Amino acid sequence: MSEIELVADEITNQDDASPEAELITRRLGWAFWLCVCWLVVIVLAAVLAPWLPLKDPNANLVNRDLGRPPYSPSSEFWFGSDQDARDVFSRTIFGARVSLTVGFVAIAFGMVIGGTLGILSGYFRGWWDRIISFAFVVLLSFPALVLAILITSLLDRGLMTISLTLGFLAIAPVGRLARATTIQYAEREFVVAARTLGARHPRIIIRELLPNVVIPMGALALLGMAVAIVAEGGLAFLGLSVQKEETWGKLILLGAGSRDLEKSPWISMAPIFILFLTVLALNFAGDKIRAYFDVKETAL
Amino acid sequence: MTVRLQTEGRVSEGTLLEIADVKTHFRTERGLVRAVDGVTFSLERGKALGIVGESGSGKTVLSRTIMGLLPSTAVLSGSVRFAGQEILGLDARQMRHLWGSEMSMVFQNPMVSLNPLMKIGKQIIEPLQIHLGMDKTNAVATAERLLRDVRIPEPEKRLGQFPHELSGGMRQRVMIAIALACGPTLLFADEPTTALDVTVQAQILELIGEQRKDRNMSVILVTHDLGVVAGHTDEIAVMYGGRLVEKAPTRELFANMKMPYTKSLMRSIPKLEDPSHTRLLTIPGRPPDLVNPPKGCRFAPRCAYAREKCVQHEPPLIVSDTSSEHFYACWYPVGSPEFEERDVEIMTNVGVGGSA
Amino acid sequence: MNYWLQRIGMSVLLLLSVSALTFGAMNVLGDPLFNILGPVARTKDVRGTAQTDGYAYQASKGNPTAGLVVLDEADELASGQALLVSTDDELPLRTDTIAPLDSVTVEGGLVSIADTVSPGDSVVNGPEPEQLFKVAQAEQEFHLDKPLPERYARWLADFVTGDMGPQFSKTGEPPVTDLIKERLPRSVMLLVMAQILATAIAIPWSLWSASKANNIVDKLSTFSTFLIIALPNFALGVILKYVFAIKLSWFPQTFNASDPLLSQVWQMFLPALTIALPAAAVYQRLLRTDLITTLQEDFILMARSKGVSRRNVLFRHALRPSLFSFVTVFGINTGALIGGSLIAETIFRVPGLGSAVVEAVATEDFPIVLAIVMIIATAFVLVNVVVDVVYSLIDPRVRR
Repeated sequence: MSEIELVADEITNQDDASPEAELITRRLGWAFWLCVCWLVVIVLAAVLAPWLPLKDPNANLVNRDLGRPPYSPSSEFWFGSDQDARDVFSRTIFGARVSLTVGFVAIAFGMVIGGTLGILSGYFRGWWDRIISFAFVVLLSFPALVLAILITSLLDRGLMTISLTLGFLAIAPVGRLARATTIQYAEREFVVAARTLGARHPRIIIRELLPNVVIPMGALALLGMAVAIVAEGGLAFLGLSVQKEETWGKLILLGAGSRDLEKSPWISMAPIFILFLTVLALNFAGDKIRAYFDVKETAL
Repeated sequence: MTVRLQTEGRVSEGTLLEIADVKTHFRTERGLVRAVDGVTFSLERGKALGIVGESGSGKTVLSRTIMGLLPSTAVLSGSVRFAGQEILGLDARQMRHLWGSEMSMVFQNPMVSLNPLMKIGKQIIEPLQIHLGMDKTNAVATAERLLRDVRIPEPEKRLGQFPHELSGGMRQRVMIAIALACGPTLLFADEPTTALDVTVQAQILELIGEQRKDRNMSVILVTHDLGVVAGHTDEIAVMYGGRLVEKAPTRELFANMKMPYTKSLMRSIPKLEDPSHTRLLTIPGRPPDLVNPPKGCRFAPRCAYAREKCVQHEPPLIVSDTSSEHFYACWYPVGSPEFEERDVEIMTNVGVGGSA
Repeated sequence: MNYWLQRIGMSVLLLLSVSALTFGAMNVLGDPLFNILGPVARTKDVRGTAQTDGYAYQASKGNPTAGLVVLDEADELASGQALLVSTDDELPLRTDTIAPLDSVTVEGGLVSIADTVSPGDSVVNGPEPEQLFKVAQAEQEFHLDKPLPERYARWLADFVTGDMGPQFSKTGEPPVTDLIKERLPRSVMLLVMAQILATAIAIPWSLWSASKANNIVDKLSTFSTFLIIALPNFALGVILKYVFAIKLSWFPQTFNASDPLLSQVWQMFLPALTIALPAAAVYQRLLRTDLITTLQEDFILMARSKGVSRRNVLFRHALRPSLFSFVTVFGINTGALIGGSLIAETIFRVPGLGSAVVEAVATEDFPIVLAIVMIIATAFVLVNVVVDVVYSLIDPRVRR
């Protein structure tokens, strides 16, 4: 079949335009790079926060000229201040440190554990596969937030506990993707060839399978990070987030009371805005990368 | 039982369809695809026309252009007059009243052309209710009769079944029943037998022929198989690269083929009298690129009889010396001295004799 | 038939493992006794605080001390002194409440601690006799003295018969079942409202988008699904509350359970929308893609060639075959929506299961948490069975 004939056939068969056409668009586009820029900016700001010329996020910067706090956004307080005259802008930047850490640690943990389990069960199959797959189903059948509530309510709520809890939740979806991809590749010629040549299991897994499984998983890492950041915010709203440090979720919650919303909406709207942009950038970039590598399954 | 069919009391003679210089182009990322590039012909009422060509020759696009069933990306020009009325360029809202009632289509693959989630009965009743305004009881009765007309056993039972419960041939019969439901004056059959078993193919073609006669309906049979159109059409139009390259009454065409392309199509049909394992002569090369079609004759790059002139200049559609109804577009048609000269060379080279 | 049996078997197995896991985790990681008796049952590290009544004490860290001083009655203790109580009661002594264990000896009801305790060791206050009695009572009442598997079996038997056990934090009364009976309908109503809203938004939206596939309208709507999905539900809740309840005052800010049902529905609109909007965006994307795929099918062209109007092609021919992945995700998504409903209930103060679980977590009232987890898991299983049934309703090819 000639290419043109395919084109012609395609044209006559479709009503308008195909969804595949947009999926297969193998370009990342300027919007993708815009998202990457934002992510770089926010990550840099979070990492460098203590050395940036920011106001102390915990200082009560009462300014007599402005009257009583909370102060509305101005050249002095870019995002306004809260009831205790603390600068919302610098609090949001410092909040990014914790929120991004939670997101990163969570997805890294989920990838390592879920990926390992998924690859092993997809490669060896048999009973282990059944048990692990069933465990994934059990995990997935828990509404994620309920499971997070369970764990965080039973353990102390340090930064690591929260991160690892959310990472634990990522195990099942990541694991299922890894398993599916592994099964798909384990039957391919190059793996079969390696096996018939007498390669050992660890060698096949690490040299042949891992590189292929890592691509779709990596594509989902950004999406997973967004999910983890949002989940942390959800926990904060239930009073179950990190106890000591401020996170975006906690900052939003702080300004979410009826009275605060009425008088000083910026206290919650500013961190909502930053959180929204970050999640949007992560989602969009993740989606683009997924389309770029043509990863079909939406596991997260 | 009052069953109304539109064929009763209709004009029975005269020209039904006249198309002139029809062009259908598609804008794609690669450029303008000239799927149909200037086709002219007309069709009498009650006659059957076969449009033959390889896939990609534009035959399907042409039939859909006439029917107006193309995506909005298609760029159309020329004229399509149906029963005296210009219909090219009418929007879907206007065409809708013709679809199903005046012209309908039997699609290539009955496996995917029936709605899998809708009972057979409902799918037949739909056009009856839309176009003829029948009430449910009446429509059901008509549907049953239609199924009987297309030789489906136990029609009343079939009405309540889903497409997946029927065999391929049975489904194609249902498709025909649906297409015939409102008594159209023009039926398009787009490769109606390609997806079916060989044994079923003949039955389906037979059925379409019968119904054509019963209803005095015109039929356009689109196919890649000259064998299919041979016994079931009055006229044959051969398409290549979006153009009409030969058109003649069926008998005349088979008697005096002019285009080397038509001849190659003919040679690629397996014949019963051939000894088994005879190698079929396939046409070498690929159909032309419709974005950048060849400068001269579009078939020239694949034609064993092509000469310099063929590559440089496009042949016009001319009347044959054998019949005033026979047209072809070729500089050196079958039977011309240049053709014969080349034919002798080829036959001696290949060492295959007499198969033409 | 065989299929359904297998299906039910899997569901039961799933529910059993969920309950066993939860039950185990709550009992191993949590302390049920504490929930019943409050601080009484909890052994606390009291390093550094001086107290006047009779407990064992540990010297504050970094404050060197010779060891423990054993006193008969409660004198005022100086900082850095530790005290042990001797008791003549017949009550069982909870040795695990005094640590380090190897330094404790019990003789005829007299507890003594070896001199080897040094500053920095964790020595914890022992319970008062009365409290010990309460502990024993509670252990008996709630079967906490039995081994874990037996307790699980008891709980399971009760749960299956509809008894979800006593509320720990209120020492048993009212039973959890009553609480659930009060809260569950509200949450179900919220979820049902949210799903109806989401579907009601998603179906017309996707039909509209798909019928204009890839033109500017469609591109804008795809972009807006991106925006909505990127807005976490708690943020959306706060924004909705700010705009519609505070600025525009179209809706009340909070929920009032004593109002008549109709106004309750009204009050639930914003929380339902908080849950529904992101779900609608997810559904829209899915449906749009599937609709566009369906619209390319031959039977759609066939329907058009019959003269079916564009509208009816969309509604009668294209919609139903495009619903499969929507129905599946609709089921799976119910789990995610339950999570969202917890947050929406908190923001808009709807006393449903969500706020119940938040309260229960705060007071570590584990029979409530367990009951709610089980209800959610059961709902999840049920919804998936329903999805299966709906599936076979819309697709005659999978009818079993």
